Amino acid sequence: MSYVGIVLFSAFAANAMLVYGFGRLPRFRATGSGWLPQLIALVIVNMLGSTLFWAIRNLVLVPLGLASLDLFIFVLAAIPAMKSLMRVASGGKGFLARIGVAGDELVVGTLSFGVALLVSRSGYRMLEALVASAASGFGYWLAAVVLERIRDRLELSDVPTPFRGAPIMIVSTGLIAMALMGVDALFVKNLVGQ
Amino acid sequence: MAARKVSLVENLAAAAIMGFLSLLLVTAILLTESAASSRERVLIADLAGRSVTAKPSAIDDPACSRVFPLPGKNGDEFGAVIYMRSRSGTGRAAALFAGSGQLEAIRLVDGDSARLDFDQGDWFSSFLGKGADDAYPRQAASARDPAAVSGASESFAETAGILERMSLLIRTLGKERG
Amino acid sequence: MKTGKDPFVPNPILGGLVGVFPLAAAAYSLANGLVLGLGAALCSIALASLMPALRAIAPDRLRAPLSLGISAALALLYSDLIALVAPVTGIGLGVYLPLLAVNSMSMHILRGGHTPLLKEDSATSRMIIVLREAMGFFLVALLIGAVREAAGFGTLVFPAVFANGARLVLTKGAPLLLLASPAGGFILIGCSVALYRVILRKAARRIP
Repeated sequence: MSYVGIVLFSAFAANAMLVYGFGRLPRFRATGSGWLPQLIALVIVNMLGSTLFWAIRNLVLVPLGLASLDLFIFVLAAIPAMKSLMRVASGGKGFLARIGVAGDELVVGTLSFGVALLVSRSGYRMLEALVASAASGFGYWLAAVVLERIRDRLELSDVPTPFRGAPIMIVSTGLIAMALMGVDALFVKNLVGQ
Repeated sequence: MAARKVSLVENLAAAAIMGFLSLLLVTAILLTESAASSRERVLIADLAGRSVTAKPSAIDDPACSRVFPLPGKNGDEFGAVIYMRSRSGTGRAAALFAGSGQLEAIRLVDGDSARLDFDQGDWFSSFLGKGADDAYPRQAASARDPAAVSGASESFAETAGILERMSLLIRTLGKERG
Repeated sequence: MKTGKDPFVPNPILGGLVGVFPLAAAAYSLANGLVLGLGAALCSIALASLMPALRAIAPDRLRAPLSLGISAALALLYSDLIALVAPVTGIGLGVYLPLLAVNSMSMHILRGGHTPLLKEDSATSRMIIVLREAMGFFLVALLIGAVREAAGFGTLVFPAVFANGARLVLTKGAPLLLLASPAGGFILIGCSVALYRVILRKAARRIP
């Protein structure tokens, strides 16, 4: 698949939140980091995690015939390094600190691990894996921003009591996911070619 | 100095725990691999109609982990169990390739029965005889029986992609074996 | 709210919203719900059993990486086991099995669970709470998978290893295919959470 195809596929057809269910209900306002630092943190953490995962798996473990150990070695070797990097960034000032704080929360979770596992096990080359992970981060951010807007509107709506808060947000996530059901690998291939 | 010693002992203890876990995992992986390999050998032997005795070649593909060579009088054949996964479901098939990469036989072993996409009709036959110089069909419309493939399905394209990769890989393996 | 000897343990999925997203995406059949729910429950029980020992031998600075390492090892062992006994379900679940390492249930256990524990709570009572949470997670994951498969495909297929692959055809065709997709999963779980809240309110219970 071309790079444009990989971006479209990873951001929409294989959206990390709406199709794969990685991460959790986003709470950007609660974390106070803001949307732009969240986007940058998402893309950086995904790219860093996926690159390290890809390298550990394909350059070290596959030649040894131990590819199934990928997650374990990643947790031991890469996560402490990524955590340290984010903590150094969060100790900085201003915008960098906000990226660091947002990134620190993202390092250990189903989103960063899931994207890293997916792109490393999909047979992508390193640059393709990098592009796919960045696009996944962007796709997740986009879905989160849409949901955040929906949350704003729902707060002003007369939602039945049992549905207030999380339930209506989960149902809304499902409705947004429905919009992406028509976009699959075949659609992307037909759109941008092989 | 004493604090350093304590820290060193703690680090060593942590390393020992992780080392033990690594050993446990490696043992589990080796056992699983061996069992999975034996099962795949049986499935391929069943499809090929003869016993598979040669050692498999390990490959790193999302759809397949090993290829079994089947030496024969008319040149080598290769057998593999492939895993197909799409939004429409999951399926496992045993496939037999000629050394040129051409698909000679394929049989669905089992599938994610909740999603019947891989199970409907005999649409695997659309791929038979393809490979080598004759590429796999890219669109369901060009297949023998498009209706059986439920239109232009993602699973059809996914299977075509997997078989194409396998075909290329087997051509390389075939050349390596002379 | 009852506390002390009989604390109210809300369901981790419906009450604590633990693991909702992966379940919505992956638990679209009875087999998937069973394997995912069982994996999350077993991993969380194993983690909870190992945590006291880890607290005793590892200093604070090493505890987090060690517990994550143990969690990853448990998830990979479980993935290997599933690849052996139910290969198609294992392949279908793909990355969700290794992801049990950082799945919300494991993280939830590593953080101490949802129910506030009292100082005088013994290790046994803590373990009982973990067991109840794990059981709650497993049962709801299984139920979600079964309902989605029954409504989405009109079938109930038992994994080969558990019931010899028995297949129950409830209806011809797929009555409500949407429920089998991630979108349907989200909608079903959202409605289930709301229903759970109604039930809790009727029983005069509150999520701590």
